[in-house]
Amino acid sequence: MRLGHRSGVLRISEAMLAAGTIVTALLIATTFARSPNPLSSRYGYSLEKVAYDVLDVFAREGVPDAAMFDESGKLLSSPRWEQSLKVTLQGLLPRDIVFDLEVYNVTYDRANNTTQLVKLNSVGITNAQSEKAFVESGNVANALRPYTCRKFWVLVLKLTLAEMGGR
Amino acid sequence: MAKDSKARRGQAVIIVALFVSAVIVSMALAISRTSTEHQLLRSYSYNEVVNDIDQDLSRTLERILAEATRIFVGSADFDPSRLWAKDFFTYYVKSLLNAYSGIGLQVNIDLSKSLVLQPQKELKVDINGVTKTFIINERRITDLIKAYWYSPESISAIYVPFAANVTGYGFYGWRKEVLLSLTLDILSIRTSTSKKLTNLTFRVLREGGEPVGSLRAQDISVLIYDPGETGKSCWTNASVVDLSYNGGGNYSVVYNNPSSWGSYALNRSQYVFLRVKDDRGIYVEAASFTGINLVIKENIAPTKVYAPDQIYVFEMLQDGSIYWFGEELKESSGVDFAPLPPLPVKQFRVFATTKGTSGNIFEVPYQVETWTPDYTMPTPNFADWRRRFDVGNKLVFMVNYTQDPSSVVDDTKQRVFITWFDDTDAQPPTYKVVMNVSGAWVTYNVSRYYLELVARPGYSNWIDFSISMWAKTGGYHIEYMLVGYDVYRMSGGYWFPKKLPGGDWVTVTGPIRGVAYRENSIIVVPPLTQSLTDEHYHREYILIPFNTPYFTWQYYGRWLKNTQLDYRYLSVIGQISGTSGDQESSIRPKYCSIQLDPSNPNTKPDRLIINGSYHTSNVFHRDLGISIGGGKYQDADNYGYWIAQYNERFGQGVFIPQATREALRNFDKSGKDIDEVWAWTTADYARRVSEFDALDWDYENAKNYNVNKDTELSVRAAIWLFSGGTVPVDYYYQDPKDWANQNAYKSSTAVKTTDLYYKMFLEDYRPTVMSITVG
Repeated sequence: MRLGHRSGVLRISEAMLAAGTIVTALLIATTFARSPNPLSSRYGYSLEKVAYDVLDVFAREGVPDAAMFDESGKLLSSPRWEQSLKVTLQGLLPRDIVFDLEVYNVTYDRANNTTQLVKLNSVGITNAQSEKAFVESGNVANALRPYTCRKFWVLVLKLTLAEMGGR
Repeated sequence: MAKDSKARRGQAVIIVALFVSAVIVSMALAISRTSTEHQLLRSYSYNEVVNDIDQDLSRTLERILAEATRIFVGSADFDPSRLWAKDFFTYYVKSLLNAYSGIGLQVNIDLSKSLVLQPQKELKVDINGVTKTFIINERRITDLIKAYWYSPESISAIYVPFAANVTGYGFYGWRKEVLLSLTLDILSIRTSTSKKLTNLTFRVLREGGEPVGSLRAQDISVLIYDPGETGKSCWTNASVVDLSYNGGGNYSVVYNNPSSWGSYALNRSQYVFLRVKDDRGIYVEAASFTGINLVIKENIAPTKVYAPDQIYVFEMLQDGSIYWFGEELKESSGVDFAPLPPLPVKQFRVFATTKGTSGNIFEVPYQVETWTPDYTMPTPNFADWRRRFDVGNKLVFMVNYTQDPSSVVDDTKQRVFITWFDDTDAQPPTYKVVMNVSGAWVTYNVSRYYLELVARPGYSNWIDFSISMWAKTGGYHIEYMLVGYDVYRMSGGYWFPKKLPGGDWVTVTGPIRGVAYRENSIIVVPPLTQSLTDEHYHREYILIPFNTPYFTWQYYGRWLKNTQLDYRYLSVIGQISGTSGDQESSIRPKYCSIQLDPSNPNTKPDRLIINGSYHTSNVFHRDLGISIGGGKYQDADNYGYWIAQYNERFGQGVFIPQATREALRNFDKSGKDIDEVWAWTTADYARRVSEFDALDWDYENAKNYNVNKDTELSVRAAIWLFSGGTVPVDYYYQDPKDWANQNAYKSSTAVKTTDLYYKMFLEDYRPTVMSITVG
């Protein structure tokens, strides 16, 4: 009997150990195997594609020309033009996407035949509260696009998107 | 045994559980890996990069072409447009490389590659019911941008052969050729004389023959020929009544006929200059005609005379009228001048025949000059070619007549073809005239002679005879004084002229003709080292054409106040030869010939020209003041249209037109004949002088002559270089009525030249425009 009692306790312990092992495995699995990306489900393509598409809209519609320069081709004052671009991006992107746009002017040193990217926006063109939003998001995408303005500035637009709240 | 069996069953459960757990974790990892795989593969990125570069390149090239054509419209020089376009394109490509440096973008662009834009073709344009055919030569594009404008079919284009690799993505061998263009075709011009309306149709296509249907009225500029007011451009904006789009890139624009067309509406409506800007901002300009054919006849003799130096420098104005030596050419009946379109002046080319109208045509020397809008004076921009042909511009070209000795060849008429290149890379003509500035001196080298001018005379010894024509062959020179008046009495003699027009000359040269000009109210008084600014306004210019035997001079002056002269004297143009260093030398001109007035009753039919020799000391040879005994005076007021000084190797003549002779004759309003040709030998170094004077020097009556306020003097002359001639030494005579104080000669071989060419400069003998056709 004593032997039988000890044997029952051991089996229960083994069964619990086995169950615990499986539960642990399932927990680990759920950590890796998340549910489908809701954005992808909604739009049918990746965040990176979205970023490129946004920049494509910018180029096709001449958004930088309209938002950044006055009629004479003079750069508008900061943060006016940055704010214009931010509003445009907010209109183009779903609310659950955080964005950060950096605008660079390419300067050309003819004497040395070199170019340099000089960041134009002095304030952030972003809807994120902090950079943490991008660090914490598991789905971050970058896109880059050159853009020739009507007044012949060559800009480089760098857009970073992230899903709000991670996966 | 039972105990062992139970223990093993427990271990099996754990083993199975561990296995199941391992499977679950593996599957989860696999799913996770799968879900993040795209971030490693970047499959989207290279597509997007290639597409972005493709799209951005096209849009950038559009903007480059738009800006380049805009610059060209304003500058009339395609080089700055191309330089700008290439510079910006280089900057753009470098920007691309910089932006995509992280993915290893490599770009190869060969702008020297050439592409056929259009093969050679015949273009037909319906002009008032008549189909005109234009040959459009093959058009190619290279070096980034190209513009073929100013013909009925014009095109602006940009072309980039592009090759790229994206090494970061392992993407190699991407090749693309980007060609963007805008083509404008003038299809028809139809005018209604009854409705006084003209309908212009044209077509606008972009690359690939895609119609442009977005033009608005403000995108189109229609210039038409309206020869209205003098001093204003004869190309005016059409008064558009209606603009309509007919599909397929076809437009029609209806505008009012200008009132100046009158009965010439059918002819004048054919001249259209059209500019279009599409919605990309790309410009293109077309002209409804590509050239003007003229037949111009010389008239110096009823039948052909061999005169190989009969070279005319014609000046064609914007309205198509043609001038020579300040006079508009005669026109045969029915001739209506064709205007020169407002295109960059470097596009023009002028061709002419050399052996008559049926001969081959050759490119002739030409240039475009900029004068004041009323064409009275040159401007500092005289030879600036970076401009459009406008009011104030002259297209100047040379045509040579009667240079074939054969009487069978009728080269009294030459065909002239004025055209313009459609290739906007056409360069301006090269310079043939060389102008050197050295201190106060300016020298024009025009092949046959040097013209030296004291351009900043100050009060130097060169203030009076400050222009010197040096022969390259013969090696000597004669100096000229252009207008001088009054005489200053000094101890031991007289200084004349006392007063001269002063001020510095502006000196400029174009490719085939130089100019020196000045306009002011400065009168210098050399004996007193003074200047006045309230007595006489004057403007004058000297034109020095390349490789002709002559230069020309034109003067207009007006007295600003009543002016009493110390002694009556007004010389219009005088020539003087001999220097202090060559008094005894044979290199000096020693003979003078003077054409007499054949209508003067004192002129004998066998003595139409006086040929005399100069003295070695101060004497007068021809002067109204020379007494010939019995109270008679020499009739020095009998003169014609030329005078000349020469020796056996060298000579120069002064030709005046009829209007100048009349100005000399009529300057004095009292009715006295006190104008003359004065020939004399000076006291200083026995220099030789011959001059046309409007007022002779009245040395007997001081303070006896006034020039009234507002009296005008408008005169012209040509100075002609020739190779001299001889007189028959045993065939002289002495007749003070003809030539005092030295021998006169009944003939001279030198006068053959002057007596042959002087008619070129007479109004009655100016050339005639026989016909004008436009194509």
